[in-house]
Amino acid sequence: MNRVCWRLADLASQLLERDERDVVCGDLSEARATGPQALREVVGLVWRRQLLLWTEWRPWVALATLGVPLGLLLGATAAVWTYTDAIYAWLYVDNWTWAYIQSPGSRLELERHVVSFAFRVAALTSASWASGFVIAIFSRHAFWVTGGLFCLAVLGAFAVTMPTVAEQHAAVFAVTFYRVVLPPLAATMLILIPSIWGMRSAFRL
Amino acid sequence: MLLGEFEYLMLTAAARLGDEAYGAAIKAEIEEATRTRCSTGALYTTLDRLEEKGLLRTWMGDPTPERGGRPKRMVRVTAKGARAAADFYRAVARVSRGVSWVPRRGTS
Repeated sequence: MNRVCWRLADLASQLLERDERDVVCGDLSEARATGPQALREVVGLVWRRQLLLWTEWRPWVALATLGVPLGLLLGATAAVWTYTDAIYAWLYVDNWTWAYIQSPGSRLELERHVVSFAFRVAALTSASWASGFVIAIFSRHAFWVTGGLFCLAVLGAFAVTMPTVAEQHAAVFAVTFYRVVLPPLAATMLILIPSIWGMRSAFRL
Repeated sequence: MLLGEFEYLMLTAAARLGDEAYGAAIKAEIEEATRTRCSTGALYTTLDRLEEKGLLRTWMGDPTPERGGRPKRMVRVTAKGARAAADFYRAVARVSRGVSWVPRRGTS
């Protein structure tokens, strides 16, 4: 328990400035604080620091003009694209036939879908990276909260905007992968991971 | 500018500790004097506020082995801080004149 609390305190202290983290951890070592005491002290300081950040206008503007709108837009776009791509993936992967390549018309159609899919993946991941980067730049140290709310907005919009399965597509979404696994996988791979990467890149500047 | 109660406690503790004034020592001094817990969050956010007001100055000290090789945040009260603490003390003394907080027998 003691070790777990110290580990958690160490993790929480990563949210502090480097100098302050060293000073506080030094104080706790000197006072021979127990794990729970260290955790309480560090979390209390992090909490106060975050609250103080939100007394300024900058994080609020970043949240209202960037974090939430971009999260909703990316989540909604990804939901619609995931629905469409699930149908084509089912068509070309689950129901593969060489006729797709042998017939010139089908081959052209397949090529068109592959290019279009690659374009959408590239567009969504780069937009997510750029969103994460800009949000972190404008939020500064409040980006943990702004970034967290951005991720919530993405997931919320994704869940709400995901189209209702049409009758003619019922066979596609009867497959567990397309119904259960693909939506969260797409949201994670195409938006959350690139945007968190973008935030990390901004933070390292 | 009148100080807050906790700000006064911090300035007084730092002044009492002199060259040995740093975060953990001030915290221990306040806890001993008030017999209540002083949180690290309150300590360092107040320290920042007092420094912004120019009432004290802080700098990073040398790392020590008992702190796992981590530095202290050393504190020194400025002349402006000393004046603010003296003003606060005088205000408390003035407002307390003629008042006794020692419970008298027969009063609840």
